Amino acid sequence: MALRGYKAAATARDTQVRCLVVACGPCVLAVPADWVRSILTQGEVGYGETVSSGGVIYAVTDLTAHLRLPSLTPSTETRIILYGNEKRVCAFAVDRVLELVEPERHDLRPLPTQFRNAERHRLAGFFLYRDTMALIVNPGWLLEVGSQPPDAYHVSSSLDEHWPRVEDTGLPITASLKAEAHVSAAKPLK
Amino acid sequence: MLRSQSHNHRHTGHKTVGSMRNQALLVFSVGGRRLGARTEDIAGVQLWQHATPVPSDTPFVNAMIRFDQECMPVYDLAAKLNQTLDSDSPLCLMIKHEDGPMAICIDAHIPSLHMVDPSTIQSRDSRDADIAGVCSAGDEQVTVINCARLGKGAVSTLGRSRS
Repeated sequence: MALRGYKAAATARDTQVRCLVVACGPCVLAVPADWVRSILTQGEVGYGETVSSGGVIYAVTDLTAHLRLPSLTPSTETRIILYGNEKRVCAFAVDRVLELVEPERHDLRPLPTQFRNAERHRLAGFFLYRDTMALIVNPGWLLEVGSQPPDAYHVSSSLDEHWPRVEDTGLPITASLKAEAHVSAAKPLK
Repeated sequence: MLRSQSHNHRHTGHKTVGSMRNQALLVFSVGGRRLGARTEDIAGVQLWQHATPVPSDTPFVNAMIRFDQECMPVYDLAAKLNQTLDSDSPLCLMIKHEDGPMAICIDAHIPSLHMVDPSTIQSRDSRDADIAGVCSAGDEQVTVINCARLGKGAVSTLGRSRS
């Protein structure tokens, strides 16, 4: 299953950011959707360490482990997301795909300053979603950890690692948004 | 600079010469333990809402709570103090943290206001920056929390990992 309307690159002038919202354990995560290449069922993918699709081999990474979340419980709603840009690719499982949304850029908020460790690399920020909030996964970090062999990834809680910074991912979440001026709930795509 | 020194004293609980004016203290409970916070560090008290977990490595900051359009991080004071909240309908103490608004889940026991002499706040454990000291409020001993700087000095003093 491919994302309809997928575009390889978003222009900087877009007023909205397209995010794929997924459930992952107790969290609602938002994955910037421009790098989503495909969404597959577990049956389509199998249980190997890699997934081959369109001539590209994707290493399956354990997103929940990287985020320190409880392991997924496989179900009929489990989906494998193939993710990648022109440099790196990876695949990861989620409990459920919820929907594709396009929050306005001014709805995106940075992670509060009180979160001050490595989660600032992993999460780019959040936006209001339904009656909760969706945590935006830093796509640069995701591809960085997802494209490495599992035993090559050293779990660190430090901010001093050389992970891609949120500012480098093209997401419009910067210190200037800390004012959190205008806030409204994300609108689902029609 | 004198002004800065005065500001620091406000958060450390040391006796300040000339600071004999009474201090308003909000007294509340976490897992039955009686705690106090300076009223100027308190933004409000509400019913607790469902908190959204945030995968975090910051000690005791593992969730966010949403009130309509406003979201704020949650400081797990119960875990920090090794207490278990003993209520099914806890309250949310919203504090004015230096880094922005923050929420603490507290017991359902309604907080009360007490006036105390700031010079009676005794610093007990200077290694823990979250604790300003202890003092008497009414007929009970309360531990005064440094709300404005909660968690900022916790890493080196806790000696144990987060839950």
